[in-house]
Amino acid sequence: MFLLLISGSFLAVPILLFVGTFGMLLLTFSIIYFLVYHQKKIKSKNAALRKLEDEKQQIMVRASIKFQEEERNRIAADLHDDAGPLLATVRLYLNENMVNLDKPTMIQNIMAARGIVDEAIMLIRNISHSLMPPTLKNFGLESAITDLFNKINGSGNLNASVRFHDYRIRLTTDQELLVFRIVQELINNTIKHSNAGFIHLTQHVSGRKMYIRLHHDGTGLTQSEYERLNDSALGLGLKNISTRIKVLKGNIHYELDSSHTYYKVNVEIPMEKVIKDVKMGV
Amino acid sequence: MLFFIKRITTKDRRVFFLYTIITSILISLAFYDNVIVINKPSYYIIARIHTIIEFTLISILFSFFINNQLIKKLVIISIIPFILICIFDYYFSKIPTIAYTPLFIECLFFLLLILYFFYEKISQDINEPLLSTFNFWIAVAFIINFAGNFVLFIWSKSVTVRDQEFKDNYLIIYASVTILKNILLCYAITRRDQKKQFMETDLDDKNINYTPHLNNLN
Repeated sequence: MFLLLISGSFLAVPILLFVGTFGMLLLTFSIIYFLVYHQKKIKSKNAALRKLEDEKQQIMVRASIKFQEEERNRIAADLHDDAGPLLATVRLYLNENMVNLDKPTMIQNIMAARGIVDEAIMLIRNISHSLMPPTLKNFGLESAITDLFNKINGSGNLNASVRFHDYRIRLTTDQELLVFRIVQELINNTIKHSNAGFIHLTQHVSGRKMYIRLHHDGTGLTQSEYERLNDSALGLGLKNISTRIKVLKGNIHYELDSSHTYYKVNVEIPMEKVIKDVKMGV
Repeated sequence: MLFFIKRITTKDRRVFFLYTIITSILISLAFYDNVIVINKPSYYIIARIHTIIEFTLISILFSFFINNQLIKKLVIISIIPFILICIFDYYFSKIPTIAYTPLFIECLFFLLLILYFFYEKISQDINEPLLSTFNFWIAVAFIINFAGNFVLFIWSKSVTVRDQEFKDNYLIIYASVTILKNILLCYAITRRDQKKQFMETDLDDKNINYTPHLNNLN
């Protein structure tokens, strides 16, 4: 067009040809502009989404680290407050003056020290079991969860029941531990916050997925509340559940029963890899 | 020239290089015929050959740019009917003239093809920065060229070939658009392909290692 103007033949160009060409070029430039603008817009949206995802990931990692630290502090406190005094008491009983004592007193002291050592052994065993339940390690998820529910039942404050419909194919050890921790956390939350009278867990397998459903008659969470708490800085336990679910590549869904009487938590765990592992093992 | 040759690293750039070489040879021949020797019939034949070669090479070039396999095949196959149209147009034209009908078809075909290419760009390669890629600037250059000449080629059917006023206008518009196209093509050559780097970044994002989390949880 610049050449048209400088050539001096602008007026000779039929107006329709000029308008048509100019219109086509204008349309082309508009399309190119739209394309670039659209891409920039999408990229900025994607960047914002990625940032949100990163922040969420950061919260998860921080929650995981915090949880680990809390667990360490708890073990340290248990060892310091319980095992420490017990062993110190044993040391008192077995002091160097013991050899100067008369025989009955000596035997009495030794027996007392033995009792305290037994207590210390029990304490250390309890700490060890809280880290890795032996039932889970030796007999699997079904036994470990049943054992856990029996203990809750034994307290007499809460009616707890469990039913495994199909657990012929076991998950891997890592997966079992993750599922057990999820169930443990869910039960913990129920006991602490829900004021429930009963708690019931069912397990079943459909296709290549395992489903665990936990329902109780107390105050619970809905999915939107869970997501809100999970996205906020609060809810350390929920973040741990969420991280574990992510590692399992599963899903979790909180809901209020249609009768508005029970709160339910559904956990979905894919079993595809496990089935392959079992076949390979066979 | 050396700067240009250094950048011929991919197949599409090789085709583009071939296109520029053949076009420059044919334009030199056409200039020699039309201005120096003033041999009109051979000038028109060279212009028609140029149209066929231009269509063929640009089709091959865009077949490298487009991801859809079906469209790729259609683009390559379309070369055959286009050559047939050019041959028919040559045999049925009563006097030696520029091949306006094939040029109009070529314009329409590439306008649609480039619009499809842009559609693919916004729907698939969203992470690739458009303004710094070779194929985007090539497409921009050609779409401006074809859009600018489109009305001209439509108009050409309604005027007589001996209309001097139209010929002057044709030359002015065609020259303006071609200069703009060539500037954009030169700019396109300076662009490097960044697709590989972005693919690697995507892979990094996908391979998230969950093992440290698993260890922390245990």
